[in-house]
Amino acid sequence: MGAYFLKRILLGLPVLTVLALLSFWLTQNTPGDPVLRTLSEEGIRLGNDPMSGPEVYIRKWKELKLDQPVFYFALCRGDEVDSLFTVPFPQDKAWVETMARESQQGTLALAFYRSLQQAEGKLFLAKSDTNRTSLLTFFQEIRSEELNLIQERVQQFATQYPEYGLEHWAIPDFNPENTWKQYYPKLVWYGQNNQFHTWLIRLFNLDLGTSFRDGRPVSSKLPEALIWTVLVNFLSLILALGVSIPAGVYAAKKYGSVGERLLNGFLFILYSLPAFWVATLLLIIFSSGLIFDIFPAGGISDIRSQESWSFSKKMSDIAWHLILPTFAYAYSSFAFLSGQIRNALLENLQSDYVRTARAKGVSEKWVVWKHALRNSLLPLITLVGQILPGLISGSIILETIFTIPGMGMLTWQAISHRDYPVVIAVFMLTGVLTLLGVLLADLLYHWADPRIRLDKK
Amino acid sequence: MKGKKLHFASFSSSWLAGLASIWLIIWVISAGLAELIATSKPLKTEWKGEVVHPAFRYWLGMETPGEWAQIDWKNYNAPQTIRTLIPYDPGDLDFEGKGDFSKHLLGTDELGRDLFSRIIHGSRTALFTGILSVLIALIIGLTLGGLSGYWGDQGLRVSLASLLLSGPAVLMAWFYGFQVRMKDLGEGLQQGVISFIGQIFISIVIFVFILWGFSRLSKALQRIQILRKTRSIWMDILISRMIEIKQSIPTLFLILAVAAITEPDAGMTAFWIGLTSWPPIARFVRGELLRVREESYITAAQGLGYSGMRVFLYHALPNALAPVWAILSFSIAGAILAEASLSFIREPADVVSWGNLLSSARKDLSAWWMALWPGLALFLTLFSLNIFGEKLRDYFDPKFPSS
Repeated sequence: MGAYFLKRILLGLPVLTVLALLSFWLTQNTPGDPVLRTLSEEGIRLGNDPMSGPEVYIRKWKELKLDQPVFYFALCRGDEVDSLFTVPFPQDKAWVETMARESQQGTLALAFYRSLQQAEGKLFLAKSDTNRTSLLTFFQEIRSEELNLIQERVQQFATQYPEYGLEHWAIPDFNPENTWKQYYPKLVWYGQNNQFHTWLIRLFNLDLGTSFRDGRPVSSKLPEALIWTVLVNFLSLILALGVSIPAGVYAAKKYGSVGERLLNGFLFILYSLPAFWVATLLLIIFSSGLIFDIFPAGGISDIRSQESWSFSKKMSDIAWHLILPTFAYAYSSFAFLSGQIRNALLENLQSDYVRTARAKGVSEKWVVWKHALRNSLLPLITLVGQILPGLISGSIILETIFTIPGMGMLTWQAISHRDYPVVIAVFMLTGVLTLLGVLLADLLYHWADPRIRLDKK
Repeated sequence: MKGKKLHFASFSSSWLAGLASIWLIIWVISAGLAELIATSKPLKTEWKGEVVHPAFRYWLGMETPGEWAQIDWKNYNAPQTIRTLIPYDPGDLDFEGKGDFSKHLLGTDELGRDLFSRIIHGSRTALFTGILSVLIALIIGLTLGGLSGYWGDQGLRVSLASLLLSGPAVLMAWFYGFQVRMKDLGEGLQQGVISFIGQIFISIVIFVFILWGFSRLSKALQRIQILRKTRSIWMDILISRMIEIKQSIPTLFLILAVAAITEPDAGMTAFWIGLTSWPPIARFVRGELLRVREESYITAAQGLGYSGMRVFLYHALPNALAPVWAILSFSIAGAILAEASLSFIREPADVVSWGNLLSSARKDLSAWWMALWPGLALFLTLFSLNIFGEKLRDYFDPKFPSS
């Protein structure tokens, strides 16, 4: 047993690693400046320009550990700057990158930028300096200067203001003779002081961060949403089994008859119906008022719902709201489930123990429902393993249509508002649930049929 | 629920299969000839005293006189004008005729765009998505399924030299295939999915070429005794893990999350669907190859001294493809459903797709026609493809014969 669990966990590690890498890649590619976003969350608005408050920007930038490399290592072109992460402002990053590409001298381009930045920093503090304004403007202008003219302009200023040591600046040559550098690879090792490592450590400590949208901790948003998803899925599973088991038994008993073929055809049509179409049609038929106006058009409880309502009234209100969603979730699995049950039952009805039972004089009803059916339900255990991860993925569309505040809606809202802390939490949760689902299915198989050995799998 | 088997052999009788084929033919024709069926440009009309065929010209992408761009074809009046079946472009706004069922047979959307025309043009998106994504899934699925099924955990033995070289080889191949070409790949991405796939193809060719170069190098290195020792690679374990990883990420969720970063675009959607829907194909190929590789004709071919690759490509793989053809139909249906679900929830403005049309009905439930007709087209297509898949499986897999 212990060996089995160990093996399962070890097998799960690659899954979780890939999921972590994927979610990290998503956060890295989120549009928008993370520093500005964090600042505006805290109420400090720099607009869209970091340069309107450079000190504030740099402080936050360091606090968010963005001055670290992204990953443990990087494979880059020979002419690229391998430590571009030390440049705080996005505009400057692009500038240094261009300089590196045009000169094929990444290190020199970065050194030039450093000297510029240091001179700038000194000037910021030296409020009494008479040349402060003109030099600061010059430093800003040089960034948008044509690359070939940079050398000349710096020379000009160096002779004009000799006391600042501008003539010692190493300026890359923008007309390089050989451009072969971009064609050879460079592998840089950064070590564990990197953004991914920091992020991973936080994840291990279950620090999921706060939602970008409402500033609430993600760990408190998830359970609220999970309750509704679990409720609807549970109800629809009961409905699905309630329909499929009798249908499967009927199909097995009357295999090949006209009635069985009709039932089969009907279930096949149901299976081919796209769920979101059925959901929309259900809403049009039963809640739009065009034909009927029986069921509410969405949500989980009446807006007029009050605290004063009794518990049973509240429950019946919720149940009333969940009737359409439950059906929309369940109908597509009728065909699959009943088909599984039918096939297993057909097989079991041929087996020796059924013949023995019949020979003993057990009634046919008892044979089918008590002996054969129990063994035919075994394949359904696999379903349990799939239900857990399906809690999240399967419901994105249906929950959005029926406006149920569950995991699916939470996920979709997070994705469309680029609320990445929530997206990543859901992502990782899905991975964990998948692994748990497999584990659970294995254990259930073992419990239902002890002949199935865990360690032999 | 991936790769689930539904056995409706007893149900898919031949008349239903016939109806399904008729619908599939209608679907493919309307996708191919959308510009001849639903467009405001006349099939035949008179222009400057000459008889011209604007719809055909536009459909074939032929050169058109410059002034044609200014002509309002919808209200163009000339003797002998023959209009198409549905004389509206999918993007034509018609505010006066909005909701007028006598002018627009199936109705219009909230902007007065003809629904019938949009459904016809939407069939092209569905066909394009179905074929492109299944092609991509097929390439990945066949490669991975083949590797794990045919060679398994023991079959692929490589020398120590190759093992040592594999690390630098992959790094170099990645660098010259992709990293150096990042700019070209980005430009390809902006020009649309076809040129993007073209660029990726070039990258893959470079990638494979460099790997091949390293394999020659390793052959040379094998002159050294110690580097000639072989180790077997656990291909099967490796690829089974890959399938497991893919299965644990919900496809729709992944595509939505990635699509939030990139621009919503029909081609890229198809690309991503293809990239995420290969596991069933890989599993089927693997399962079939496990059986095929034990057959005596494979042993015979190996005994004749053919190279492993040759036996795989010419003897093993062709005999393992039957179940793949059978599930191809289901794969296309799955891809179309995925695309429809995605455009239903994301509502990209410029893509005419059935799912996108359905999303209008969600916003206004009283517009029942916006839900009924596109949904019906989608349902009929999925249903026909599923029936077709059943038939194909009956044909290839005699274990479940038709009654």
